[in-house]
Amino acid sequence: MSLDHLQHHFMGYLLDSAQQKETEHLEALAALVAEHSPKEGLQVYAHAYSARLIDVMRTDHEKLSLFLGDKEFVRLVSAYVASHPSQVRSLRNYGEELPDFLSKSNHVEAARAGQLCHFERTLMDVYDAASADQLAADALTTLAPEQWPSLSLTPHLSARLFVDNTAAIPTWQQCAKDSGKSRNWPTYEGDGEAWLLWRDRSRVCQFRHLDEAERQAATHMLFGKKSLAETAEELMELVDAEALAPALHGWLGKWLTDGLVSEIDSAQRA
Amino acid sequence: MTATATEYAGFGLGLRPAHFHDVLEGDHPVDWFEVISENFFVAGGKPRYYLSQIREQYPVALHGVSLSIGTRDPLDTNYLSTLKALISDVKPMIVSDHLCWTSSGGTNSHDLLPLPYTEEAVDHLVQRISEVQDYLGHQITLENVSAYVAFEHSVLEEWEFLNAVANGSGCGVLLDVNNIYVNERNLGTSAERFLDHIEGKHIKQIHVAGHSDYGDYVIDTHDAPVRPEVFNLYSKACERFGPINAMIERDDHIPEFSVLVDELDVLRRHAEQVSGTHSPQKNGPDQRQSERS
Repeated sequence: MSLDHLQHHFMGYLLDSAQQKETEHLEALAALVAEHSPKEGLQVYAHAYSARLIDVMRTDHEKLSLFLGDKEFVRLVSAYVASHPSQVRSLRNYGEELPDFLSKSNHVEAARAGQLCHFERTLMDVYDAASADQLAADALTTLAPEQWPSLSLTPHLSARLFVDNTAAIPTWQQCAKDSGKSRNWPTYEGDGEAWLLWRDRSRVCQFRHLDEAERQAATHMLFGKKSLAETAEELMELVDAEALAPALHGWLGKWLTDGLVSEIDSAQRA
Repeated sequence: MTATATEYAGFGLGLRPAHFHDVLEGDHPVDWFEVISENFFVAGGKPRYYLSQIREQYPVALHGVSLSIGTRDPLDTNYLSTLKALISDVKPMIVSDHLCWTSSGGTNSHDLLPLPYTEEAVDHLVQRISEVQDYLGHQITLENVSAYVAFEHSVLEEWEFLNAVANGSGCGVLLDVNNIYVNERNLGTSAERFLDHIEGKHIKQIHVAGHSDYGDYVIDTHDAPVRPEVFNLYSKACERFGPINAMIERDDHIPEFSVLVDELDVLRRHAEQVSGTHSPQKNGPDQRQSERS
């Protein structure tokens, strides 16, 4: 009996089991199994396939499982496993489509569950991001006055801007605080709140809320490759003219202090 | 690529993220560490930072779980190129994975699925292993896996299969004595016969781990202390093969680092009692560093 035949039916059997159905794969595979094998043998593999994937999702999405409760978490993730045969080498990537799956599910809080899941996956990306320079807090002190308008930044590879429409991050924080015991979840009204995520100089994942002005500044200058002058122009309707320069200076200083900036560039640089 | 000698490094532990700080913060009676290769495939970031710190102090073996050497699918060159880059960076003492298949038709089971012990499988493996070793420029060492089914059309015993694959391809063998025990219980094979016939020249490393006993069958869970019957099997392997790099594997219900260090000491004493095998002369940081060159 060929290896192709065996592997085709074995894999088919595992995927069928995740969907709790029996097809020709079981019959074909059972015919290949030696009589002296334990009668539970094939079931061990079938159980392990789903259990392993659910366990990985539970480990990667600890707060999501607290938010949903274990029974609902297992129901939803089992449905994900049944409908998403793994196409990835690393288990770390298996849940990439889980946020979208949850947001389209029939859970009463589907949108929040999807965003909470997305937030936890973003934290994983921050944790795993490749290493890069993190400029010192005083990196701008040598910049000549004429270089400031054309100043642009390259963010650290771990930096992410996360827009939270469903109070997913306050929900995550509540789960972290009381293990999800209080089921009185933070409310939301639909306007997205912006959060900045990054890995600090001690390699610890950090995140903080941004007010609207810093959100716009970060969108244009930290993530949008716009110069300081262009960013200032974008912010003129949002921040008083007198307050704009000190505000920009303050954000730049904070981003540098936090380790969010890998490179600075200025067209005017000598 | 032909088989290469692997220097005897002594007694090691599987390195898990929960123990990164413990490993770096003290001097431990652990001679080397084994890491799961795929956990360090991102070139940078926190995991690689800790790995580089630990590598400066200890020899490291790379142990993969996703090579899927036995699959009929084409070789995954993306996977292999990432592994090759990791090998170049870490300069491991051993690069290992499992003698099994994990994926088929582009779908991954994330499990170590059994192969039939047939001539067809031997031929397929010898060709694939040779291609992988040529690509990596490094010998690979393959572990005997635990199994919960045997196949009717197998014509070789497991040890015959391993010998044939190793002799044909020049790969090494990672002898997992817990898996030999698990297969004896599940499939009625003889662990002693396995140890009597596996060719010692191929064995580069030994794994010792715990399992869960369900009465009629046992599962290779790696979530519990090593059982006496597995330590006894390890002693027999020491009698037969002499000093071979040996380590404790724990993948779930990870205890405090000190608990694993104590369990490793039990392993060490089993080896000492049987064959007088000791850890190699303790290397200072400078000597360890030189292993990288």
